[in-house]
Amino acid sequence: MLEIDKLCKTYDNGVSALKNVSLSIPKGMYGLLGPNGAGKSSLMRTISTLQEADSGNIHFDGVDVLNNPNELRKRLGYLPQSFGVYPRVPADELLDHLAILKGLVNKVERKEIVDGLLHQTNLYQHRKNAVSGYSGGMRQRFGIAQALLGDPDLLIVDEPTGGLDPEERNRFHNLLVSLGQDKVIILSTHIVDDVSELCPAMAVLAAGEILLEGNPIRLIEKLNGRIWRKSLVGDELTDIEKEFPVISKRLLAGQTIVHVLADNAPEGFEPTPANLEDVYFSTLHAQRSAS
Amino acid sequence: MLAKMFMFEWRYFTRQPSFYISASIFFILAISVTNMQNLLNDLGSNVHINGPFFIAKVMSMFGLFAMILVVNFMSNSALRDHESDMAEILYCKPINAVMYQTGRFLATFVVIVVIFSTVPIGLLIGSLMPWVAPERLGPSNIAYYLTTFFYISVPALFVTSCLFYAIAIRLKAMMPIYLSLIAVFALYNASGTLFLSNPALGSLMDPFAINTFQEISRYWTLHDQNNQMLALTDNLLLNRLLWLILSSVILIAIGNILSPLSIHNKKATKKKANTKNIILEDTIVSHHIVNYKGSINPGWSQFFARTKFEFKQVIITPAFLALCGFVFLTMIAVLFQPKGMFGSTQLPFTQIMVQIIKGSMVILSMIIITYYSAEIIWRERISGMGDIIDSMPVNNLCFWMSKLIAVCSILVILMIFAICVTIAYQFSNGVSLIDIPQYLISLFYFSVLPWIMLTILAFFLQVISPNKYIGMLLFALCLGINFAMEPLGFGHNMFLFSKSPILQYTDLNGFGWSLQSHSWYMLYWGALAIILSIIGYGLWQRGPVQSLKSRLPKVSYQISHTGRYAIAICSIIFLFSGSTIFYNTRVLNEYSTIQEKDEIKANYEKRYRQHIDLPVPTITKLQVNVDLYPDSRAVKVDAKISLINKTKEPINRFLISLPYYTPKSFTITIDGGQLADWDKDTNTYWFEFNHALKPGEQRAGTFQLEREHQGFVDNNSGSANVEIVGNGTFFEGYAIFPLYGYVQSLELISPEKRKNHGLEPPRRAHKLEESSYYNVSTKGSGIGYIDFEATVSTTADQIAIAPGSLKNQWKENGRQYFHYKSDEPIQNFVAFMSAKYEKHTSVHNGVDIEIYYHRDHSVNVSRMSQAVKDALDYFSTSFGAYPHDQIRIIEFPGYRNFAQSFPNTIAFSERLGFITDLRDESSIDQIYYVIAHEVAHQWWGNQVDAADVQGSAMITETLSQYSALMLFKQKYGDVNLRKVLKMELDSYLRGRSSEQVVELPLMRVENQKYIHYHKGAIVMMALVDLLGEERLNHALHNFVKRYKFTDNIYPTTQDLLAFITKDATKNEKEEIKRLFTEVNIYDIKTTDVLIKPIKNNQYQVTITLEAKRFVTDGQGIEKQAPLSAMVDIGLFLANPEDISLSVKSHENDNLLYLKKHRIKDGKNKITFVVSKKPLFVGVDPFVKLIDRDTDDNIVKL
Repeated sequence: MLEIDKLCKTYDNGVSALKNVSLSIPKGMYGLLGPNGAGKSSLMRTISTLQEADSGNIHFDGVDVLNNPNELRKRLGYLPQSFGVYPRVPADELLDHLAILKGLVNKVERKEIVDGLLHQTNLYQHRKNAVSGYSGGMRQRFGIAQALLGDPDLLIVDEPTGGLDPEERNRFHNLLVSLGQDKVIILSTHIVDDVSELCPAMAVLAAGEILLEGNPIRLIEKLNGRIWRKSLVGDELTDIEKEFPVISKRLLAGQTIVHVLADNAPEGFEPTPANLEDVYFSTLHAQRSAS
Repeated sequence: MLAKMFMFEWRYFTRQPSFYISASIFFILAISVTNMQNLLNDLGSNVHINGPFFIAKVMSMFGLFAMILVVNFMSNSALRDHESDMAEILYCKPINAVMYQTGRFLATFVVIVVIFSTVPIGLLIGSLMPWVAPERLGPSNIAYYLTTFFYISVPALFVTSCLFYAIAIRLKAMMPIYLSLIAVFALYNASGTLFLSNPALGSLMDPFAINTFQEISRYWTLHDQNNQMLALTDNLLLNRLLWLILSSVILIAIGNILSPLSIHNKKATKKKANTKNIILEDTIVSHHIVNYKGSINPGWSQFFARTKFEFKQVIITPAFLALCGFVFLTMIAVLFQPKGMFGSTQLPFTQIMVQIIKGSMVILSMIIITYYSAEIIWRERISGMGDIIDSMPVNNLCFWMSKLIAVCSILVILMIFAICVTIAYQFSNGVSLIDIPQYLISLFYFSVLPWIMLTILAFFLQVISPNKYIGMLLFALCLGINFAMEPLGFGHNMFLFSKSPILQYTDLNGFGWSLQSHSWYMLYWGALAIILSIIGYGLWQRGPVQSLKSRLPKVSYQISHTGRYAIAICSIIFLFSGSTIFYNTRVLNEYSTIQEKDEIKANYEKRYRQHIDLPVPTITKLQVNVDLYPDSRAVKVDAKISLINKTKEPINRFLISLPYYTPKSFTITIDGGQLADWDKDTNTYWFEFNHALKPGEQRAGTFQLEREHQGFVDNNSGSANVEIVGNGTFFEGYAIFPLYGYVQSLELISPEKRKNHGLEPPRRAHKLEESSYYNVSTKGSGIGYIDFEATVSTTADQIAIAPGSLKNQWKENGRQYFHYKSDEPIQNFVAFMSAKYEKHTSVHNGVDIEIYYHRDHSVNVSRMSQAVKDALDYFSTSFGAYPHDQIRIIEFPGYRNFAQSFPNTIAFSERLGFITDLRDESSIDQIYYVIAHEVAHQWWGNQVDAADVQGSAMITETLSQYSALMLFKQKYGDVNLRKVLKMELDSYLRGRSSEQVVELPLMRVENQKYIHYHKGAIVMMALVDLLGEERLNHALHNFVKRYKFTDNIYPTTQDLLAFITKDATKNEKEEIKRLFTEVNIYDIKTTDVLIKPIKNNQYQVTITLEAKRFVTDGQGIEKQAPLSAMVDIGLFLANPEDISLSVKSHENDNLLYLKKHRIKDGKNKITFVVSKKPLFVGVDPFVKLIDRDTDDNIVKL
């Protein structure tokens, strides 16, 4: 549905944000996973018509996004990574204003939608307060509400769960899922769980390049039987890092647990089922060692 | 800590491009100042551009302009932590708040000072540039720059820095800072207004010290201007101390610079939100989402919503209320500020109200456009909402238009508000002539419309700029460039964005042709503004800031077909209206830049000056038909003339200069000769006789001339453009009659320009001793007394007037004809008028007094008539009979603001007197003074003209001043006269400081207004004091008798003084010599007064005073000279300054003692006894000496 073809973008300061990015994104939820500074936001902004690309093409359902941005905007919902709001404007008024900008001209419909979205995002009680005075989570929910205005066919949410507490995050996930399967929803995030919980398709973006693309379950399957774990004692870590391709290390109850990618079990390691995090980290690891 | 904070801040700013951009802009502006000819000439064409006066003037003005710099840097410094969300990180660090804030403030201040230091550097480097004429340079002295920089500029920067920093820290928003900028500006304006009535207070109130310097240098002569180092004393010291203390207090008290750091947030709302959050039940979303798709074409609804939103954001704010407040206060200040001479105001006619509104809005509107455009264009990016808003399906045009409408609505609403204020004022003043259409056309069509175009320009510049500060600077630069365009030869309004030719509104002639010309220019600029708009919204920023380059490829998409068609159509309109304007202003009419005009004048002098002594025939008879066509602004002239050769040589050929307005056709015939070469360039002909015109021989001739205005011109300022108008035609003979011989008044005057054109230093007049000019009058060669007869025709609804008695009046072919004939010879100096007039007639001792005026201007007419009667009485008794049977005062449109006397005819501007508010009986009647002066010209100038040598204006103007003053004194008494004389003295002392060539003694005055009007008034009052009214008037009477209507010889000042000194004593002669042949400046100061009660209720008064006399040479260099003079000492029971006390009764009730005492150099002690205890002591209280400072003459006891 959304075709991205050889997209390149280099900023004026020489940073190369997107290098030849090509993606084919179907309907449904699509996870774009990548570390900070990978170029996720650049890609999101470019798809959202806010930024020009140096070269390449984006097509959405027959719309040439780069050359006809206004056409796409009619079908777009966008939640930026971070945003501010006009000072001193109450939530309902601001959402109503945005609804008009979205093209919701009919007053009755608009009222229904605005109230509905405020309810859904749990902001209805606070609708008369200025959004600029909201807490981080509330503001984020307002951002979600505005992105859903006008029933967008393409919904882009850029790191949406950053400021949310676990409960709010769950609620947000439910909301995304309930939006149905007939729209393209791109979820850009650096949190692997977001993707694993929601997305039937995903890509990994790092340093401006697509490293991996596919169905998470199939990607995990590929790694099954090749991930080995070990709880470390003392200062083994440096030796192990020298010896094996350590794709991740983390703490569990005070102990460092490392995951290693290998065809056969290294000594002292035990097998462990692969998960999406292993897929992600092994991809990043491979990229890092390649460069 | 302080040093570290300082260095951090310093490094921060020096890394910003804005630092370098601002510094370069100031530097370049400062350099270019040295090449701005207008400015240079305004400040005096002999002033050194590396001299102290020039430097201080320019740098103090730059201080005002630097506010934009201070606002940007200080607000950046104060708001940065807050805007970049760094505050929370920073303020939890263990930093010393005082050090932190002081360091940051100081560093920013130093950055500003460093940027501003490019101004003196630029001025210094500019003075070394090749375009600077060597005579504009004195010896370079760095101290001139340093003193000005540290005494004037740095304190001014400090004041504004403190204020803007404090406001920014306290209110954390840009709008209050802009408002405080407007407030500072309003303060500066108010101090300027106040300065006029109370210089001391006005100069103290001005934080930029512009008025202060003006006060200090008020009487600086040229020599002082180029040599007097600025000193930090008196007013300047006081001003600087006051502002330094005040701004430090502001910084500490409002700017919290000594208080701990705190984060500014909206705790209240946040808390409320949070508490609610806790009681919120956790509803998990499960129900189906109701949602609708957006409409396919929501354009208009989006536009309305967006406009409503932007409108609310700018109008429903405290900032806007504050703006209204400023407008209100500025206007109130102006409405209650007297403007005319002697503190009288003008009646609140709508034309006056419109000018007041324009005056208070003109700079304010530029500030509003600059700052509001910046804020509104960058609103999305500053609030952080840009990404959301910009991803909405909203056309760029919608954003552009809604924001444009919001900014324009500020201007429109402020304007409506201002109109309401003046209408209320008009009502409260009992003026029923509220002319709503005039308000609307003058203010909206002529002012707001161009402002809207400027707003579009500001928008456009913001859109192409990488940040709002650059955008503001660019816009300020565009506004500034307009001032530089004229000297660069681009003064035509077609080069000045949104400008059109200015023509003031007059009650007589309405808008005239300016509606037509303005419409064409508005079409021209409007088309360009629309093109700018289209490109502007094509380049509109969406999302994060992107370089202009990356937005360019999308322009074509954004503006779409409609935009491209619109650009095409607007380009056609632009070209079409542009060509129309070009055709009207440069093909139908001549357009020449100042440089070209100067060139023509220089050429004229180079080609014809050599013929200055060639004899010229004199006209003795003029019989003329003048047909006026006000509607098409045309005139047809058909004249019969007689000429005579009054010289002792035969005349073979002579020069004819055509009227300064090139006529459509011109022919002249004189028996025995014909026109020869025509010099098109300078509009000059040679007339050659086949048989020479012998001395004493008389010949007849004719001439015909047609003059018609076609289309419109780009510059209405020349008087030629406003002579023949729809209603209110007024022109002199010069406008339709050829001039004979070499015309000296056509020469270039400015010494600098003359030098550039390779001409000798200016000769403004022939030497007093050059007797060969004694038979030429001030009106020029070939002009003497004539038999005059005129038939003037005009449209049926107008009255046409020329000098002489009206012999006949009839209607023919739908036109009115008037036949005038002079009953006795009159000077060949006539005027023609025509308008729809009301007429007021009265008869006084056989003389008809006729006043012709606009129907709405009747209020002062009977007062004028009375003034004429009084003047005729006094002057005929004192100087000899009035020679005509009628005297007419005729109103002409306010395009020109003067009164002028022709034989039995006085032309009087609409602005001068007809609408003066004299309803308050305690105010002094300025009309009386002006009319007296003009009626006096019926003797001085019209009966007795002067020879065309130095001093001629003393006979025509100074004697008229004297006559008017005597009449005024007779009506209003000494105490009121004193007020007038004080003003005359002040005008003289100011005038001499802008002398371009050389200040001469009164007797040798060379058309120097400040001498023959203002010094003349003081000198004549001293003379009448010396000789007494009777003796002086008797001398003048004899003088008139001798020279009345003599046109073979005209008197000089030597002749006049011979009459005056005829029976004078030796002492009197001595004194008269001092008054007329020297330039004396006195400095007399009362230092101490002792009053001792003695027996019989009497008081012994001992006055100590210091006195000095200076003799000044032509360059303003003063040398002390011995002093021994009789000076008035007066004692008063009430303050003689307070005129209201004595307006009605001109008995000097409060004058206790007045006697002359001899005063010598240095300390004088005078003792005498009086019967009552005086309250005020005055030395020379009635202003008979040229005293540099009259304020220290009167002392309150």
